[in-house]
Formats: sequence, structure tokens, C-alpha cells
Amino acid sequence: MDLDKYVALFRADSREHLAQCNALLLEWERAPTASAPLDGLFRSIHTIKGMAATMGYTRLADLSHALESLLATIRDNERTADPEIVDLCFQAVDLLEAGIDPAAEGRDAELPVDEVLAGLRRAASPETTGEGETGEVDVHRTGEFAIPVGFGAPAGRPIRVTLRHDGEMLGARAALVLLKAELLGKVSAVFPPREAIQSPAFGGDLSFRLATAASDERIREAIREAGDVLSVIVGDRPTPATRMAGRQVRVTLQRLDDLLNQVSELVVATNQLAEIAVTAPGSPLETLSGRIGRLVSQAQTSVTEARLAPVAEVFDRFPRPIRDLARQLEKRVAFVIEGGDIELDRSLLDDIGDPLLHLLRNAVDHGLETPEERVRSGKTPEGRILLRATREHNSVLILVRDDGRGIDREAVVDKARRERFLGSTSTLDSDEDLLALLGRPGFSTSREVTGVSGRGVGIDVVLTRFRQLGGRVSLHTKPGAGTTFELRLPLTLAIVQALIVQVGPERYAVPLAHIVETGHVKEIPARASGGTISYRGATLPAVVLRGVTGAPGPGRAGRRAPVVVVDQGHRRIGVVVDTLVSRQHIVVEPVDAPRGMPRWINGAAILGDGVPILVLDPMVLV
Amino acid sequence: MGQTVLVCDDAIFMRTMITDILTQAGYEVVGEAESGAQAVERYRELRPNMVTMDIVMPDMGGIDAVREIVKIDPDAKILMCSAMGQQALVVEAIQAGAKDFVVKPFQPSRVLEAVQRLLS
Repeated sequence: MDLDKYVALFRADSREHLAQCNALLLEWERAPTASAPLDGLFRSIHTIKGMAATMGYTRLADLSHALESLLATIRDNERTADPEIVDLCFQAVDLLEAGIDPAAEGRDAELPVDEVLAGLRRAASPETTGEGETGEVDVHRTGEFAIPVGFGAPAGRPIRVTLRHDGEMLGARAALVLLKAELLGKVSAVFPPREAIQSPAFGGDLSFRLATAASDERIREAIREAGDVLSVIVGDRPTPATRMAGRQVRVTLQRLDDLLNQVSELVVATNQLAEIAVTAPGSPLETLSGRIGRLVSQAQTSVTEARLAPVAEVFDRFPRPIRDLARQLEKRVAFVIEGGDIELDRSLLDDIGDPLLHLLRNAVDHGLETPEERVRSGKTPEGRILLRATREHNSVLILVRDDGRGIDREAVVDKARRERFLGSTSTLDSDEDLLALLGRPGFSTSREVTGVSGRGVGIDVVLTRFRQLGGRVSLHTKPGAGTTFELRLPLTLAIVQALIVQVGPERYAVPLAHIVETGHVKEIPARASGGTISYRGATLPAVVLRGVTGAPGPGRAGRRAPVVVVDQGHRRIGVVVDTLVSRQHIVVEPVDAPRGMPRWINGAAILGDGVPILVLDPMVLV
Repeated sequence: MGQTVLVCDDAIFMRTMITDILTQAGYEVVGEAESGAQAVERYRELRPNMVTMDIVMPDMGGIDAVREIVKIDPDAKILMCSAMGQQALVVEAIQAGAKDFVVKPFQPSRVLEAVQRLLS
């Protein structure tokens, strides 16, 4: 049999299984007596062993065999996992992971597995101390594992249920959920384990597998009948094997980038064409221009969708470093990931990994208290960190939440005053002010404030990164209750729908995603910023764009004018302009910020008529 | 015609309150019971569309009453009324066949939400 064509499949499938092993090991570590993680581990390692043996990767096969034997011993003797065993398993999984590429490149024999192999064998039969006494099983010649890929998956569809967090008796509610599921079929791999669900620490997130003939829709419906159900997610991300089974091809990101750039250029050209076409109403030119416009718009949608990938590709990398950090700091952490199936532009995805990890590490390091401190303040010893992605209208919201001590506002203020980042009488009234201060370069990176405030390392770096990606960041923190970072990212880069507004001779673009509505105010406030307008019976903080941009020409204070109402996340503001011009797709080009460039400039774009304009960042106006 | 309900609680205060909440929402409370044994008896006799059931009652508690009622009618729709801190009992009641639960002190909206779920 020609095995070459299976190499890629072996790599992809092994990685998938090893990623699952990492997750299962974490689960097992948290619940050493539970059998589900152990069973899952056993199956995955068994599968890897079979694949490695089939491919003739002897060292990898031996290593997985030893790991499998250890797991089997533990399972059959009902031994619980002590931390050394779990660590050993982690080492073995790491080694397997590191060995995939070398093995696939024909360097299996060079893999340095001896030490871990010996450790695994000793652990599997503690009474024998000599190495190799358990007998080497030459798995690659047994022929037992001739099926290259795709067996060993646990039975049933994976289901994830989130209960309303304000619900009462979440544990009992979860019991109802499981009961409803059991009416449809066989439930397995319940996580957290059933005992843990009944503990007060249970936060309302539940996953399990359900083997049933019922449709996804029927499952969702049945589970919702349990009440207080916020969301039910049925189904799996496709495995590499099933992805390959569909008619799909791999495309390098560079090609998609090129395609997106070309479509972006097309969008601009189409806008230019449309401007010419309106001068000839009823002409074939106008008809054709309209048709090209629609086609380009469809092409844009297609290329945008082609670039989407599930955030799980990044999120799934985090549990391991979080666990390692928690162990190192002797903290207990329940790390929960939600919304892994939400999709985001591929290139954004690659860029959010580091800043997110940064925030998560901060949450473990500075946000969460030690188990003793937590118990003293009446909390569960185990801290909770939530990483959740949800789709909002035109953007994706990523939330990083801990239930730790919260940011010590006073300590931050003290520090800021001493370092003259803050006047001696200034205060930090809102979380927004606090975030702005923590995000000041040179402030939050100071070591001292880290120790005192409990947070802050490199927040400026995180803010900068997300802003560069067109994202917005907000912060909510409460002493004793924890800290939440909310990160909003556009679904895709580059092409956005924008409202073009005019003040004086200049036009500006306001991204539509930020706009709530447009209307008119009876009177333009006299002050450029810091004033208010009354709009539909409500009082909104207002900005007069003419004043802010310093546009020449007579001011029109006191007169009627158009206003763009913008959502800043925690509040709405009115942006008063001279004229609302049009709505169009623009391609936002980042601008290299020269010194002194106002913060409210987010980029530049070229309009249909070829005139360059600035794109506003409504989040930082006022 | 409204759906019929049997209200079981040993405290007349709670029975009155639940009855008020349900009656105002258009349900018909056809009977009351102040013990588990009475609840079973009245269920057999009235065959209501649903039952609200306190957990701790004299002369057969709510959980045993659930077991007995389910024997009479496997499809019985029983809503447990529990106090905070009784999660283990609620889970037991659910395993015994109760279909849903609410937690005292009641918010009328929560009670009605649960009742609607059960009777839909």
C-alpha cells in the first residue's frame, strides 16, 4: 500500500486527536475520578497508536502504546490520577505532538522518546522498576490497526447548553436539561461531571454527547423545554477527515488576501463608475453600472465568507497555557470557552491570539485570588475565567471575564497621580476612564502598578492591537467580583459600509456599524465638545464635528443641523455635521499615525470620485 | 375553559399566593391539598392538568407524593415549589418524575413561565 498519500491525513488527524487529548487531560485533572475523560483519552491515544503503527512510525507508536497501557491500567484498576501521573501524560502528549512532523518527514527513528517511555512504563507497573520489563509490543507489525483514520470517535452529537446566569438552582435546572436529553436518546460524556453540576460552583455551562435519531432542531427544542436555557449548540466542528471528504481545497491565505484586495479595488472602481452613470439616467450605461455593482457586491460577500474561520482555532490553544500558569501560581482555575464555532476573518484570527492570551494570563495572574483568599472572601476556591465569542450585528464580541478581585481603582489612581499621569484632583469615575489610563503607554507596563493594582501589564499593547484591527475594547470591573474585557471586532477587515458626512469643505466617513440612526437637532450646541443636545426627548452628549475638525468657515451655532447618533457601547452620542452626503462601501486603509494625529482618525479611504477622505473612529469622539 | 391546577402546600399562605397568581393568569385552581397523602388522593379524584407541589409537607412529603402520582398517571405534570438550598431535593423530585420547578420566594412571572412551559 502506498502510504504517502496518507501522510497529510495522518498529520491532520493526529493533531486533532492530540488537541482533544489536551482538553481531556485538563478535564481529567479537574475531576480525577471521572471516567469520561479517561475513556476519551484512551480512545484518542488508541487511534493515534493505530495510525502511527500503520504508517510505520515505530517510536510514535511505542510511545502511544505505553501511554495507552498506562491509561488502561488506571482505568481497569480504578486508580485515581495523582498529579505526577497527569503530568507524565501531559509530557507524553506533548512529545507525541512534537513528533508528528519529524515522523511524517521520515525522522521517526530520531525521536527522543526513551525517557518518557520509561516513565510511562514505570507508572503503568509501579512494582517493577526495571526498564522495558513490561515487554515491548511491536505494534506496527500486528496488523491490528490497519484502518488508517476515522475510528474511535465517541458516540453521539456533542451538545453545549448555556443556562441563564440569573436562573435559580442552576444545578437542578441542568438535571432537567439532562433528563430532557435522555428522553431523546443516550447521554454520555457529561461535563462538568454530574456531581460537580450539583455543586454551588456550577456556573450554568454544560456539555454532553447525545446519541439519538432526533434532528438537531428537535434536540434544541426539547432541551429548551427545561426552562432557563440561554443557548443550545448542537453539533461538531468537522474533523480534518470529514473536511477532506467534502469537496474542498486548501488555499493559502495569501491568495485570499490578493482576491480580497482585487475585489476591494473593484468596489472603488464600481463606485466611480456609478458616479458617471448617474449623469446619464436611463442609458444602457446606467443599467450596466447597476448590474456590475450588484455582481461586485456578491463577489465581495463570497470572498468575505471564504475568509471566515471558527475562533476555536485560536481559542483551543489557550487551555493548556492557562492550566500551566495556574499550576505555577498555585491557583485553581475553571477555564470555560464558549462560542468556539463563531467565525471571524482568518487574518484577524491570527492577530488576536497574542493579545487574548495576554488578557487571559493577566486574569489568572492578577485577576484571580489564591484559593485561600477566595475562600476567605466567601467565594469558591476555584476561580472562573470565561472566554466567550458571540456574533453581534456586524461584529463579533469576544469577552474575557474573571470572577477575581477586580481592579483596585484607588491604587491605580494613587499610582497615576504619583507618576503625573493624572492631576492631583482628577478622579477615575468610570471604567472607561480607568481603561484609558491603563492603556496609556508607559503607565500600565510599570512593574509597581502591577503588584499594587492587580492588573495592567501591557494593556496598552492589547488596546493598540485591537484598535489596529478596527476593534473596540471596553472594560467592566467591580471590586471583589471580577473584571470583564469586551472586545468587539469587525467581521471582516477592509471593506465597510459607511455614511459619508460633510463639514465645511471636507467629507468624512463614519462606519455604519457604529451608527444607530440619523436625524436633526433644532439647535447646534455652541461648544465643539462637552455639550449636549436634546434628541427625541433624551439628552445626549454631543460633538460638533466642525469644531472638532477645525473646519474653516462660519460656525452655525444655534441653527438646525443633521446629527448622526453613534453607539459607543456604554452610551450613545450625537455627532453634529453640516450635511449627510451618501452611504457607500469604502475600503479603509490604515494610516501610519504621524505624531499629533488626532485619535479620532481611524484610517483613510478613497471615494468614488477619487477624493481621499478620513475615516472617523466614533468610539473616541468626545 | 382554563386549564385546571391542583395546589399542594402545607402553608395556607403559600396556597393562597399560588392560587392568586394562577387565577389571575386565567388558570382554574380546582383543588388544594395540605399534605402529600391528600395530594395523591385529590389527584386521583380531580385529574387536574397540572399540580404545584411543595417539597416538605407532613404526612408524606412532596417527593413521595410525586412518585405516587406518577404511578397513577405517568404523564402527570408536576411543578415543584422549593425553597432556596433544597437543590438536592429538587433533583430527587425531578428524578422521581417532577417536570419542572420554581424557587421560593416566588416571582409571579417565573411561576407563570414554568406553568406555561408545562402546559404548552
